[in-house]
Amino acid sequence: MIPDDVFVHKTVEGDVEAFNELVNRHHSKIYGLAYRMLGNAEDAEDATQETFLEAYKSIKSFRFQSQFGTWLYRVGLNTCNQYIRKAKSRNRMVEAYTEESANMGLTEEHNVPERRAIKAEQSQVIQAAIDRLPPKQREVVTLFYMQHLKYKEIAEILDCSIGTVASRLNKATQNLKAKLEKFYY
Amino acid sequence: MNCEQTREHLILHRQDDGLSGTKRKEFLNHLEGCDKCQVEYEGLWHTATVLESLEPPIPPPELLGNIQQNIREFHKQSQTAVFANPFSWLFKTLKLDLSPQFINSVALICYLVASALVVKIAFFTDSPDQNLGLTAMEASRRIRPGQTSPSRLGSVKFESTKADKPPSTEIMRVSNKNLSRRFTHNNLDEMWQTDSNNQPTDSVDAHFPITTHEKLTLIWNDIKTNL
Repeated sequence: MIPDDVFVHKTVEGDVEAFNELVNRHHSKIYGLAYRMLGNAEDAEDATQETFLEAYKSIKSFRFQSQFGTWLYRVGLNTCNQYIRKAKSRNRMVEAYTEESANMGLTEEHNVPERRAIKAEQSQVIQAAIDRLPPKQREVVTLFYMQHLKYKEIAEILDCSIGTVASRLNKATQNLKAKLEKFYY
Repeated sequence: MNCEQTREHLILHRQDDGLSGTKRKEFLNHLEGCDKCQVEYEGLWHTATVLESLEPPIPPPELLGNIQQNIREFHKQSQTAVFANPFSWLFKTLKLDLSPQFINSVALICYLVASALVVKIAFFTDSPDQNLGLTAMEASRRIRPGQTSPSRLGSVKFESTKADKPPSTEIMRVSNKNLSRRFTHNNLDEMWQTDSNNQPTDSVDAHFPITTHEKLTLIWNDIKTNL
């Protein structure tokens, strides 16, 4: 498999299709990150598009000191944080959460297959709990539990020490445990 | 290692390389002997397992294509020169998929043609402007008789015929080196005449619309004189 750096070099030289190959490789995980960070599919889609556009615009600033994927995560997180700051996004999240809560009540009444319903409910409950975390905790939770990155990689992306990552993750997991306790214990 | 330190390391223990060497050994030793920390550890472990079990969201199928299309469009836009943006917009509206180089060339040619037209209209149009002639006539009425124009661009001598002629009819004789022109103004109508035999009775100054060639010659002479 050709390493990402080769495509980055080609992109810098003006080959737009080389960057589109990078989009092909990384769009799923950036969408996953955006979805967990923003809590709804619509914003996640927009944020993913913006992340890649921003990455394309600033590809010349990539210094090859880290993996392209790590750098892309950083761009993605910045884009998501901008979305979170926007009141629009907040309103949507509240709406999404309200809809989810309403749907959760309805799932038992509908005749959907039990396992699927449980899975969907579980996913909704966890996402709602993640949405209520402070953004910095949400970042580490998403990168650690959903993107399965190492502490070192997370520290690199967030530009902080491994100790800070562990501390934030510890607090975030404690918070989530408290929020999810009534559903799982 | 005490309870507080152990709880700080609970999450680190989740990853194989999170705790190493003596710290890992101390952590495990404390955990074995402390019920409270064990309960905490199990709780966190369970939460972590629940979070990790969450299925990754699947991006919509059209997302990849949309992103790639956006990138292509941005690339194309960035290759189009700033001055060619209106043309780029026009071609996009007409749904014509043209290369940035072609759009730049079209824009450049259009701007060059437009510039040439503007220059031609501004400097190389020689047709006598009747309105300007009329303005000269009107101005002449306001100028006192017997003055000589300080303008080097041209000198116009105004003359009116005998007093018994109707006041609406005025004849103006124009002198500019070899030129001798006379034009008649009759209230609303006006016309050009050339008559060098008519004798002046009175004269005033007025500006006369001379040709561009004459203008440029006079300006050039003026510059030479000043130098």
